[in-house]
Order: sequence, then structure tokens, then C-alpha cells
Amino acid sequence: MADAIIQARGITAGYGKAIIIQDVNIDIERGKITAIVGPNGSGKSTFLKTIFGLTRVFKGQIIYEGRDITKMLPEERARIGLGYVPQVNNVFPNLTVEENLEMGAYARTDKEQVKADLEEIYSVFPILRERKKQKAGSLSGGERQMLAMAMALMGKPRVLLLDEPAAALAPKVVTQIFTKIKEIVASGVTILLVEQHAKRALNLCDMGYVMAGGRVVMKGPGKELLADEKFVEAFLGKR
Amino acid sequence: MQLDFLLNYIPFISSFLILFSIYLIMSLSLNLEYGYAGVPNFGHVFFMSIGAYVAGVLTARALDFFSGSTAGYCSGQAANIRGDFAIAHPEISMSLFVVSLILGAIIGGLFGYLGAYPALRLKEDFLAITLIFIGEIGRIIARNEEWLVCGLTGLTGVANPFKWIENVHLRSVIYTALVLVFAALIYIYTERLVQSPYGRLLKSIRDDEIAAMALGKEVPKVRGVVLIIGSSLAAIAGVLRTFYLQSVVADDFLPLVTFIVLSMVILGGMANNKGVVLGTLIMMVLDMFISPSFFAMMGVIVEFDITYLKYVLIGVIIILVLMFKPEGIVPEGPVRTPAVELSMQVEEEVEKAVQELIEFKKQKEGQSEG
Amino acid sequence: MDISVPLMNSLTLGSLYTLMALGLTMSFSVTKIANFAHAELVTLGGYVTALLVNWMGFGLAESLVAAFFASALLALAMDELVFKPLTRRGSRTLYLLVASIGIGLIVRYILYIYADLNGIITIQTKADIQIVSQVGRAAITTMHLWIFPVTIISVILLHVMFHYTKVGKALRAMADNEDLARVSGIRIYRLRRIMWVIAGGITGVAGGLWSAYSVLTPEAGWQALLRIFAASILGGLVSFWGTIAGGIIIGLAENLGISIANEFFYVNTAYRPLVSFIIIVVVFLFKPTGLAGIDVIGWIKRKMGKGE
Repeated sequence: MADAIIQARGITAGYGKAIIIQDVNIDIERGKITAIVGPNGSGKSTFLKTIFGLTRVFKGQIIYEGRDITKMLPEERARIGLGYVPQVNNVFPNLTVEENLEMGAYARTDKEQVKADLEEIYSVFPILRERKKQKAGSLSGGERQMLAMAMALMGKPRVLLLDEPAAALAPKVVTQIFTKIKEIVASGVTILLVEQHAKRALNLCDMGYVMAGGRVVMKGPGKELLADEKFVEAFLGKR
Repeated sequence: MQLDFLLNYIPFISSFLILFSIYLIMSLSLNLEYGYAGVPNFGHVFFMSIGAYVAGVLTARALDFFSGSTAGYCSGQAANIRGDFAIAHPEISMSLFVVSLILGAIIGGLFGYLGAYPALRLKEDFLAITLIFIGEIGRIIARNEEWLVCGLTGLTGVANPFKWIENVHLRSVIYTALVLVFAALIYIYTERLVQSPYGRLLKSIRDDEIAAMALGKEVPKVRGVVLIIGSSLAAIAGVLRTFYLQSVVADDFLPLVTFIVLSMVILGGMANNKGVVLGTLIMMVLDMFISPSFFAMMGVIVEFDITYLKYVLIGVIIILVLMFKPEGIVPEGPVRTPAVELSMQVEEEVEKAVQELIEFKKQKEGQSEG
Repeated sequence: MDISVPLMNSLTLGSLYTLMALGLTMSFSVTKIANFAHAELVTLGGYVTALLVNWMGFGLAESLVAAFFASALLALAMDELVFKPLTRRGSRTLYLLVASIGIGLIVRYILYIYADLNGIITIQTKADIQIVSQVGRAAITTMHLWIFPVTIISVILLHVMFHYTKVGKALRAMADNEDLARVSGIRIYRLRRIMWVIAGGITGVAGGLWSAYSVLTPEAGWQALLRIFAASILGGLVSFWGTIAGGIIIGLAENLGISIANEFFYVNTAYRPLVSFIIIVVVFLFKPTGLAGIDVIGWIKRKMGKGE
């Protein structure tokens, strides 16, 4: 078995009394890109939130680095190396861009290094330097997505959870973002990516999971899934 | 001997039953608005005061007119003249009661319709804030307008419709019975209403955004209708109260009254009329025991006004129920099942309700087209 | 007509309303609770100040510090005992509003009992008030030299906290989006406690100042609550500067505005509270974002976003 940094074992979770995902088993391999694809409402996003403790878990466990973190508060998970970029509402609109980035590094105590990282982020995302005194609420969609990802990176995560980072963005920006994702993985960060656009995600990832109706219905290396007739028929054929 | 002994208790029993009935009408109507439809009308006391003012102003002015009284509207002399005239003319006095009830209910409903305007637009918390302060503003205006109910002193001489009955006990027994009948009728009415498809529609709007969305423009309309009905019932409670006390004082209608009614609804169990009856009864019994007269009877001397303690207890009850028994003593639905089963059950019901609503809407649209 | 007296009253009461409303805005923006027990934070601060000065012979400054801590403690207790457990259970905000009504009743009437037992149903802090200067017919007293500086200093301190400290920025972040704040590693429960201490504290100080300015009863806070809400709502319930503007506007409208209306249109001055109420209704109906529109739009969007 490969080296999994996060293991979800038999997760049944949802909100309030409603169950959204059932009996989900997913392994996230260290230093790789894992993708979860599936149609709208299949529970992909809910699974991502569950890893971060933002849902109610009815059954199952989340193991991070061999440690059961199922009951840990989200803010504590952020402090042990998890990072998360939600699909929407992923920046603080009334804070300036710079303040947003500071919040991303909130839990860190290495002030000097934070400053250096901030500079680095600015050089990677020059547009954010330009807008640093501007409120995040005034950014465009693409800029906002950049900021959200930059914020998460400021927290120096070991695992980064990305929820549809390319949704509703212009094709040029999408390419930019996917290039950034590759760079992030190359720097040693593990990535879990949730995507509705299956082809795009599976081409990028090492391991893919297909979710539908709140369950994992298929899994395998991304390229293999793309070649799988059953998968193509069920998920790509419709397009 | 035995009978005399019983007679001594009549005033006490009748006042308990009358106040219970009036509060029951208030709690049932608040339950309809807040419990079933989810419209937080925390300005309920305002709509009660409307009924109370209508009854007071109409009856007093009419008695002054018919008796040809020249005494000042707010004077004690005028009150005496009204009383004497009412005793001499039972038919006028009783008709005034009936007219007051009808007019009170209509004007109360009218104000409910006005209240519905913000209710349809505001987020529920904002609506609650607005309505709480509506009660306070209504009181401030009323206490500063002499022509209405005589400002701070209050309007007196609003003769009870049975004032002409000479036997005091008989008179209070009859009025008590009448008020009880009203409370019972309103109970039956609200119970029928919430058991009907309309009641299910209310609940589905309250609980489920999807259902509410499927209904589209129906939601504001439904909420508006509920506010009209609820307000008009509260106004009836106000009318009955005025004729019981034979007076109206604006300062009686504090936001506190709404909060007491709210505690009855929450304690009894939201969206459950039986529970609300029980909740109202419990609070009224509490009210009876934690009163200066009861403490005096028991020979307990406290150095402060006992009513303060009652309000502390009301606060405690609200908090305790919200925290430890949010469904109240009589819960809304059937017995609770484990989370999963319940969620499936809820989902099914919601889906069914949504289907019904869509059908209902289609039918209506079809009718209007055809 | 001489406007110096109503103008002076406007500024004095406007400052007090501002100070009272800032705490409400803070707690609402972070917790989303329309806290009706906020009234009791004012009253408690007022009583603590009055009792310490009148009975124990403390100075006004020390008493105001004590009022800060008393109301801070009350605010903290409300949250720890009631709001937090209910929020953790996922209660909707209307539920929390009802709970705050319950808390308000408990605190207010316990205070009533205490006041009744001690014969202090009405009380005023016996501060040594001297006339310092005269503007038109209005006197500037030592009281004003307390109220204006304390308000201005509080506003500056809060501004510095919100914009230049980590905790303050994190509080703003939390007000913006609590889930995202958690995801960023912000320990929201600790922050929430800090918020309640500050919000409760300044409200208590406001109550203390008020007790030196006018006579209080255990219901004083409740009677001021309409104005406090109106000021806060004018600021869209989330905006710091909007709340300050709101407090001053209400102060002006209720004193200068009513005086003018009374002089020229014979409007009964008892209708003062109507101004606040009309402001609330109009803002809610036509511009729920208050004076600082931008703030709330994001919040509402997020509210709707959460449903997805």
C-alpha cells in the first residue's frame, strides 16, 4: 500500500440530520495529486469539508499522519498542516489583500519567515502586490481565486485541499491556476483536488476517485480512468 | 354555608379563568404565526392593544353619545355616567360589545396586514427586532394621546356587557363562560387551520427553503395571511380584556406581555396547540402563586415586589427550555427516531410537500389561465 | 430659537449612544446574535458605577474601570452559558435572539429585586459636576469632560485594535466569514471571548457615564435599547464608523431635531423614540446595509453561499 498522508475510513457525514456522503473510503497519497470528480451534488465538496471538520461525521474516521483527527476542531487541523481553499467565499471581503494573506499565516509564529514568504507570494502572484491595500471584496473572480490559494499557501500546509479552483473562470486563468497547482506539488505539498470538469482533473492527477450520489463509485490512476470505457460512457459521454 | 364558602371563591376563579383564556388566545395566535409559519411576531402585544383601544374608544364614545353625557371623556364622572347608562340599557351595552369584537378583529387584522409589509421583505431576525420595537412605539404613542385612551391615567367606564345583571357573581360567571367559549372556539379554529393542507404548507415554508422556493410568490402571501389572522385574534383578546377590566391603560401593553406569551409557546412546544394550552396553563398557575396576594396569604413576607421574581422565572424558563428541551413539553412531531431514520423521514415528507405544492401551483395557474 | 442647549444634549447623548452601540455592533458582526440582553450590560455598568461612587466613595475613574469589568463578565457569562452552547448545537440566529430576551429578563429583574431591597430603584452617580464653560445657553460641565474624551479615546483604541493588531484583524475576519477564519487556524472560541469582554466592557463604561449624566432605573438599558439598535442598524450592524455616525445622528435627531420640530410644528417631544424606530424600519426596508453598504453585502452573499 502506498504512503497515505490522509486516510478517510468509512466516512458517513452531512449537515444537521441530513446525510450527504456515505461510507466513503479515500486515501490521499503523500506528495501526489489526488482528484475527486463527479457530477454536481455528488458529495465531493462535502467530503472535502469533512476532512477539515466542517461537517457532522456520523460514522467513520479521518486519519492524518497516523493520527485520528475525526473530532479535532477545524482551527486545530489548520495548525497541524492542513490547508483548504473553499470554492466560494474563500477570501475575507472586508479585509485588504495584505490582511487576508496575514490571516492565512495566522497560526504561524515564525514572523521573519512569514515576511519572507509574503514577499515570495507577491513575486509569484504580482497582481496581489499591486492590489495589496485594496479590499478583497473588490477583486475580480480570477484574482480572488489567486488570493485564496495564496492565503492557504501562507499557512505552509502539508496537504492542500482545493475545491473546484477553476470553476467559473476564464480559460486563460484556468491554465494559470493549473500551472500553479503543478508548481505547488513540485514543492512537496500534497494536493486533494475536487473538480467537476473530470477530464481536466484526471489528466493532472496521480490518483482519481469518482463520486456519485454521496458514494465513491470508481477509483484508479487518472489516466486509467480516462481510458476506462465504463467511465467514459457514464461521465464523459454525456458531454 | 357551604355555598357561601364557594361563592367567596368565584371572583378568584373567574379572574383566573378569564386571564387564562385571554392569554390562551394570545399564545395560540402567536403559535400560529411563530410556531407554525415561522413569522416571529414579537410585537404581538401591539396587536392586542389595538383590540383593546378599539373596544375602549368605541364603547366609551358611544355610551357618552347615547347618554348625552357632557362630562369630559377622561373624567371619573363620565365613567360613572357610562356605567349607569349601561346598566339601564342592556341592549346598547351588549351590542357595543359585539360591535367592538367585530371591529376590533377587523382593525387588528388591518394592522396585521400593515405589519405584513415588512414581514414579507425582512430577514427573520430583522423582522423580530422591528416587531419588538413596534410594540413599544405603539405604547408610547397611545400614552401621549389623550383623545385615545386618556394617556397615562387610562380610560375608565368601558362597561362590561353584563353590567346590568344585578347579581355580581352571576355576572362574572356569565362573562367568564363567554370568554372561555371564545378561547375554545379559537382553539378549535387554529387547530383546524393547522391540520388542514394550509397548515402543512405553513410548516413546509417554515422548514424548507426548497419548498418555499418552489412556491415562489406564494410565500409572502401565505405569511401575510397568517399575520392578518394572528393579529386579528390578538385584537380579540384585547377586546375581551378591556371589557373584563372595564378600562384600558396604554402602559399595560409592555413588550413584556409578548415575552410572557412567548414563554408559554416555547414551554408548551412550538407548532403544537395542545402543548401551548398546557404551557399557558403552567405559566398562569405560576403567575397565581408568585403574586403578592398569594405570598401574603401564606404569611411569607418579602422585602421586594414579588412580580420581579415572576419575570426572572419567565426568563429562566425560556433559557432552560431552549437549552434542554427545545421542542417544549409536548413536541411537535411523533416520537423522535435516530438521526438517520428521522432525516429520511423528513426528506420524504419535504419531497411530498414540495410535490403537492407544485401541483397546487400548477392547478392554480391552470385555473387562472382557463 | 436658541439651539445651543439641544445641540449640547445631542452631542452628549449621541456620544453615549455611540459608545453603547459599538458593543452591539461588535457582538452582532462576530456572532450574528441580535442581543436584546445588551440593554442589561448598559444598566449593570450604570449601577456598578453609581454604587461604587455613592456608597463606597470611589472616584469616577476607578468606578468606570469596575463597570468595564462587571459588564465584561456579564457578557462573557451570557455567551459561555447560553449563546455558545446554543450556537454549537447549530441553533438559528432567531433562536439566539429569543434566548437573549430570556437572559435580559433574568438580569433586569434580578437587578430590580436588588434595587428594591436596597431602595435604589432610581439612582444617579453623585459626581462632582461643575460648570467649566458656557456655549450660548448651554453649560459645558465636568461631566462633558468625561463623556467626550472617553468616547473619543474608546473609538481610537478600537480603531487601532481592529486595524493594527492581529487579534483585531482576526475579529474582522471572523465577522466576515467564520468558517474561513477557522480554516485559517484562528481559534474562534478564544477570540469570541476576547470580543465579548471588550464589547461588554465598553458598554458598561457607557452605562457608567450615563449614570452620572442622568437618573437610572433597572430598566434604563432596556429603554435605551431602541436607540442603541437604531445606531447600530444605521451602521448596517457591522460597520464601526457607520455605528459612530449612527449614534451621533440619533443623538441629533432626538434632541436638536425634536426641539426644532416642537418649535415649528408643535410635535410632542415625548415622541422622541419614534425617530429611532422610523430609522430602523426605513433602513431595514430600503437599505438593510445601513450607512456602510459594502459591509453587509458580502455578509449576505456568504449567508446565501452557505446554503450550497
